[in-house]
Amino acid sequence: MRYLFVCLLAFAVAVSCTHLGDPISDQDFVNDIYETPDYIRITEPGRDSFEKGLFFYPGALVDPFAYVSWLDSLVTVNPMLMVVVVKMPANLAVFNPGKAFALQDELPPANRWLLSGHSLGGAMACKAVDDNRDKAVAIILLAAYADDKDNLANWPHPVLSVSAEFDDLATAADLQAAEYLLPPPYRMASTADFPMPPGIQTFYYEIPGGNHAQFGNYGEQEGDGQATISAGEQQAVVIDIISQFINRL
Amino acid sequence: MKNLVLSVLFCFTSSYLQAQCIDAQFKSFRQLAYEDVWIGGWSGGALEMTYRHQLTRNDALLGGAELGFVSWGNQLLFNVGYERRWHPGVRGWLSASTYLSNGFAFFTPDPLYVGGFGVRGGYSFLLGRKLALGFYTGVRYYASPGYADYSSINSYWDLPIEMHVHFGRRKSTPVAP
Repeated sequence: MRYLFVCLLAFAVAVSCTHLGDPISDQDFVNDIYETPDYIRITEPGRDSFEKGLFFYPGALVDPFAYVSWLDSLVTVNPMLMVVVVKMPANLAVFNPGKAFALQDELPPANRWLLSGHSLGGAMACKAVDDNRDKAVAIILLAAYADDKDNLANWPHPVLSVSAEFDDLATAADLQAAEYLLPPPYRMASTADFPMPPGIQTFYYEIPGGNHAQFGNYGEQEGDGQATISAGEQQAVVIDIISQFINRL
Repeated sequence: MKNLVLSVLFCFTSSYLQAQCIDAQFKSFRQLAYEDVWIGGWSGGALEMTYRHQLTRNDALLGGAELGFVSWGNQLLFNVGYERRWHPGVRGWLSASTYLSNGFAFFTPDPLYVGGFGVRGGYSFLLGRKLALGFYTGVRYYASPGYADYSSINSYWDLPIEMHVHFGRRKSTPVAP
């Protein structure tokens, strides 16, 4: 019976569809976009060493290019930042959560590395850090929370957790239930709460009017709530809050 | 989409079971190159069910359905090909085959066409009158022209490493499974 379940699960995964983003021909990227079968690297043109490197794990079954548009804007705001969107087997980060650290050697040097991810990608970023506690200096979670096997409550670095008001896939209750797995919480009522207080904490911010799918550009997602702001508006808030977070590191 | 895939697989599987002349192929893909860049690494994996239509003792036509994942995600390919066998001994046979692939990658809102071709060779060991196990490798190329709208990489050369389980006919036959 167990084998039947595993087979059915494997089959269900195998026929699952990946959400495509907007065609790249419709987008004007400001920065250098370098793609390999393993990652998409976004850097300021001409720059080859960086203050910080940010790995980004896409959500489950989301094409990695669905995030590149706003990550390109993030690099524009933070030119000393290198963003690396990690491609995952079958577009599921659960199959290779430690892939970011395996890629470090083939990337340009960065003084410090951060891990981030959307949805399942965020959960797997927590797993990667839990398995490699000294290789990253911060985690950024977008509509994501740590799995109960990955307890980072005593991890000596800060975490930023950004959620959305109308996210019905990673709800406020889900995030709250997993809070004990991350450093102590500090809730921000608005982005005007910056600069954030010193200390090792998990900074929580909920984007009013946002939803789960608008952390990327892949259209609507089944089971998600209805956003009352546009994807562009939601991503502008994400860029703002991430920029402020990484600048305090 | 899922219903379509399930229906297609069911039809193929049904005919296999009646024919009693099928291969189950487990594949792991090592990356050779993408576009014009040579690299290494792991590209993905797949399971293929193949029907063999025997033409002569040594020649057969192949038709199979391959469900797997590669760099851009999950995909279903329908492979048709030709196989030639040699029998250097009674314990097994050498085989070489070539095939064409057509199918689609599972994307939403719409699936994207995937096409390709490949060659492979290897050796199969007889384990019984109706069962054999083979190990194969080769080269294959595949591309998704439509994916070029979403990524700068839409074609790959892979080196498949394959294990084949051959199920033979029910009736006794001088032809290997």
